[in-house]
Amino acid sequence: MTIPQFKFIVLPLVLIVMVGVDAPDLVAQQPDDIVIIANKSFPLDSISKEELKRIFLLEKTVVKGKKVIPINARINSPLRERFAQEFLSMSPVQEADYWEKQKISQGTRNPTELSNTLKAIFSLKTGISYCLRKDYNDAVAKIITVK
Amino acid sequence: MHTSSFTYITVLGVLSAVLLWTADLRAQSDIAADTDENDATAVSDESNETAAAIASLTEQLTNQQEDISQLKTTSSHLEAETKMLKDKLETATDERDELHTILLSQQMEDEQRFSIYGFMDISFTKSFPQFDNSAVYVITPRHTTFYMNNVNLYFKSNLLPTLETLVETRFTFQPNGQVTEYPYVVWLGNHASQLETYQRHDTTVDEIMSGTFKHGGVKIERAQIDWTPRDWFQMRLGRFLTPFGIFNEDHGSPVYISATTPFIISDNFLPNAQTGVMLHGRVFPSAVVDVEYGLTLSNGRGPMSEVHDLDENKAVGLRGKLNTRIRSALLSLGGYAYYGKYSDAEEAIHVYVDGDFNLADVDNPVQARETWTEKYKEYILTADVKLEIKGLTLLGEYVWRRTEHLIPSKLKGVYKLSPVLVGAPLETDTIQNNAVGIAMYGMVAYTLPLHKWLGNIRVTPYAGYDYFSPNDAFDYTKIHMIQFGLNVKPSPFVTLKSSAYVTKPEDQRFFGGDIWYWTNQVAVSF
Repeated sequence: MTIPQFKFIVLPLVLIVMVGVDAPDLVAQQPDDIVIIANKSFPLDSISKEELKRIFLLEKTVVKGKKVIPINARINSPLRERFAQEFLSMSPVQEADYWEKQKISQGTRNPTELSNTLKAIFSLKTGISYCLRKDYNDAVAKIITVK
Repeated sequence: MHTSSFTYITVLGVLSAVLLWTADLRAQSDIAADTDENDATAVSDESNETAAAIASLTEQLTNQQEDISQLKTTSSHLEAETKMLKDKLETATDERDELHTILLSQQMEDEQRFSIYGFMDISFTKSFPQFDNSAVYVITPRHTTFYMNNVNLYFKSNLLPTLETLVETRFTFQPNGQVTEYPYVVWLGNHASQLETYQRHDTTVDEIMSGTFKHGGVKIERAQIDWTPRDWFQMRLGRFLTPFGIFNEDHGSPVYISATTPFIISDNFLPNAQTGVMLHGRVFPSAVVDVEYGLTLSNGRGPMSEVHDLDENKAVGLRGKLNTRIRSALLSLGGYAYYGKYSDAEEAIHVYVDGDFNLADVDNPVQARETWTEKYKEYILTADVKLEIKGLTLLGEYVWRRTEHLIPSKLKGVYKLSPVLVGAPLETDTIQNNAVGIAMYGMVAYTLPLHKWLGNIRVTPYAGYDYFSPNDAFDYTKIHMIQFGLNVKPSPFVTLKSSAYVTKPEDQRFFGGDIWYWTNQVAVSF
């Protein structure tokens, strides 16, 4: 194998490895990403997107024997709207319709809404919520990985 | 040159040189002396000035040192003060955070602990029968009218994380205006004979102190205690909605697509609510599938089953429902099986006396005896399906009911017409038959993609077919209904509906042909 041939093969491989190593960080570390947060004593460290959706739609209320308390951001806030779109597959109007229906059919109210979800999580042992990555503080809550 | 001359000249030269050197030395010595004298004077002057400057600088230095010392003292005081303020700030921040947390907890507890909400609706309807004296006016308004069906209030309380209560009350203007007995006037040629008399509830209160008003009623739609330790195991006690179908679980007018409810609901084809206990839950066998179950044990159907049962038999029911969700699409398949016994009885106190009208000398001279007036078994099976995908909604329900009468009981209500339809006098005393009833409906609705133009206002046209056959022995009770309508939601809390529908009785003699209706409704949740 000549040197030019060697370079032709090895250099792209190196580049691929570098990109491969860096790519997850580039994707995962955006400050405006929504991260799922929970109290440090929350029984899970990771959760599937479907399970998260069920928790926030109050279909699933118990995780590992503990009653979980989902906390929503304020209605009409950009964070809430993004969460509904990305994790519940619902537009804000669809989500509002869903809760109106639950209210009348099942007598179920929507989860508590707060402006500072991080602080709420700090005070609720089985609380689960979400915030922007840039607002996250690891002294207050832990991040739940969404599989 | 002569040697002596040379010597003489040399000596002279040496002497001259010595003289010149001596003179130079003297001159230099004089110059040096002068210079030293001048320098000494200058040094003396400079020394004085320097001393003064040094003294001045020393004084300045002393002053500056004092200033520095003062500044140091001030600085240390300031540092101490800053530290103290920082400590205070940190304490205040901690206290504020703690207070904030407490407030949040209190807010959440308040929000979770007790809440009141509800819904109401008002409707406007007009019927278009094919002739003015259609018998349909026995069950629907003859004249164009506004009416209010629901003013419902919910009282929800979360007592513990796994214990909650829900009470839903429905305020109604009734029983005022309810017709309890329609007279039948039988025409034989020009001769008319009337059976029964017209009776209508009048709840008017006319009293000088309280004024004149008509009192209404409060129906307890449900009053339940829920214990929810696990998703797969929950217990409900009290008065609860029967877990069947779609409309009965949707329950309220703001949720219904159409302005009217299907016959299954409006005719109580099976008990819409029961008093008893329900074990229920939900399991999640896969990421997109969940299964709900419900097991009911209750008083079942009865003339006063809300408060107590008139027989030992308890109604049992089993609910199953499979939900599949893929993103925003939903497919639900459900069913409910019910078995119960309807019993009605009258109680009488029997007193045995002797010839002196004293209690007779027999065992148990005073007895309360029960006489059955009606008793039948009910077997009911239901099935329901719902599909929601991309704004399209398809839904349908089917109910099959078999009744088996255990004792003869008289026909009631509309069935009183039965004899005349088979050539017997209307007043013939007839008894109810064992029967099979069927009710079903199907509905399709599509939310138009008008988001670009209407924003969050949703416009949903719908169409449906409804069939009702409560008793397979009587064709005149079988009705088909076709409806078209528009459902508009300007906000999640407000629903406007307009329905046009036609009912088509299978036996045209009873209602005199098809009857068209136009019903409009505004439903609001709050």
